[in-house]
Amino acid sequence: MFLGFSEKINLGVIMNTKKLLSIGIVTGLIIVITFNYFDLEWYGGIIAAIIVGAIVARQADNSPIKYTIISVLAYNMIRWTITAFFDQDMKMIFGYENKAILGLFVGAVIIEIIFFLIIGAFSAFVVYNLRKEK
Amino acid sequence: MNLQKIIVVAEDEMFNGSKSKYLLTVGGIFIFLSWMMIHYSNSIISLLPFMNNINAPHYLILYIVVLILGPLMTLIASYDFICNEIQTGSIRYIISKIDRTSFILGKFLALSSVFTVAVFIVAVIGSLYNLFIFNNAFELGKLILFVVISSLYLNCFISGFLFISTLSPENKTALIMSGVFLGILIFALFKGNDNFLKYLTPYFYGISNIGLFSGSTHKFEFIELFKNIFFMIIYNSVFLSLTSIAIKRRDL
Repeated sequence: MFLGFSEKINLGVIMNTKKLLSIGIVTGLIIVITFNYFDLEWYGGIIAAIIVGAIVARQADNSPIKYTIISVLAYNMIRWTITAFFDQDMKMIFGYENKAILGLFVGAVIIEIIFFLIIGAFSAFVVYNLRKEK
Repeated sequence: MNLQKIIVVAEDEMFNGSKSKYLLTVGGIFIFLSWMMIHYSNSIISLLPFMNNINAPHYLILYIVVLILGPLMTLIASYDFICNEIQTGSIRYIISKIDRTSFILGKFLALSSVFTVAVFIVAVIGSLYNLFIFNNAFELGKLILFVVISSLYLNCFISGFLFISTLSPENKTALIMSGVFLGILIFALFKGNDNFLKYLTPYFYGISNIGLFSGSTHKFEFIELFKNIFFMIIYNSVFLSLTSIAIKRRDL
């Protein structure tokens, strides 16, 4: 109730971080799921990374790349967790004892996520530095 | 924007500026590496069995060198071309006399001229080898096409790296982000084999023209060449416009 000046600043930073991450994750999830619905996963991932990077960079006061990386990583993890639980085709990967297929799948997903992280980070870098007020 | 001021900035960068020696050294290294590749072009071609029936392999080898090595050399030459001046504060002395767009275009012209001259020298060395060592006829058309296409291809990367250099607050950031940009382009080329992503990379437009140098020019469709040249000019213009916007928005 009776917060000091520094505590208020800290609370403001935490609120801003929460807001940034939640906006990034929700926006990313909405775009990815929409594109998934139309069978355009690859385009969806790239467009979502670019838009999330741009939105986070417009809102962030400092280190937009860090927030973008966390957001993109989070919504991709959520997306793949949902896919692993609810997609019927995942039984082909998880249903058998063959660990090589699972390893190959996980490797491909990790490379894809790293690519989206890099694109998102680059987008955030460009938008943040093109901003007039920082 | 003033043409005279652009030329003054370009001349200053090439001959009097703090980075002129560095720039000319990078151009020299590019020429030396390309010359080495021409010298051993017959041996290199023998390693590639599907290219054995090529009459004059030097242009093909040179073009492959430009495709692979060119972007890296332009990265080394141009990653800190603008952000170094912003970091040291020396840009303030120039900006007070010259408008920002002319400054950017002057920088671009300096880099572009150095690499165009380097590509021209390499092409002439290749032609001399073709004439005196491989005993083939001199092909002026191929030489001109090689210089035009290669310089346009390298200009695409130069404009991209200048854009990143304008946005970056430090040299270190510019180097990392230029590497990231190059990585994105390479990944987009490989992943975009069957989708639109490949059209966003200058690599695609460069690789499309390889047919000009791997066989007879009669088999190559020149409408493809014009299309590729047009898109490379668009690519250049987009990145130079973005660089101009970026420098106008920055506090110097």
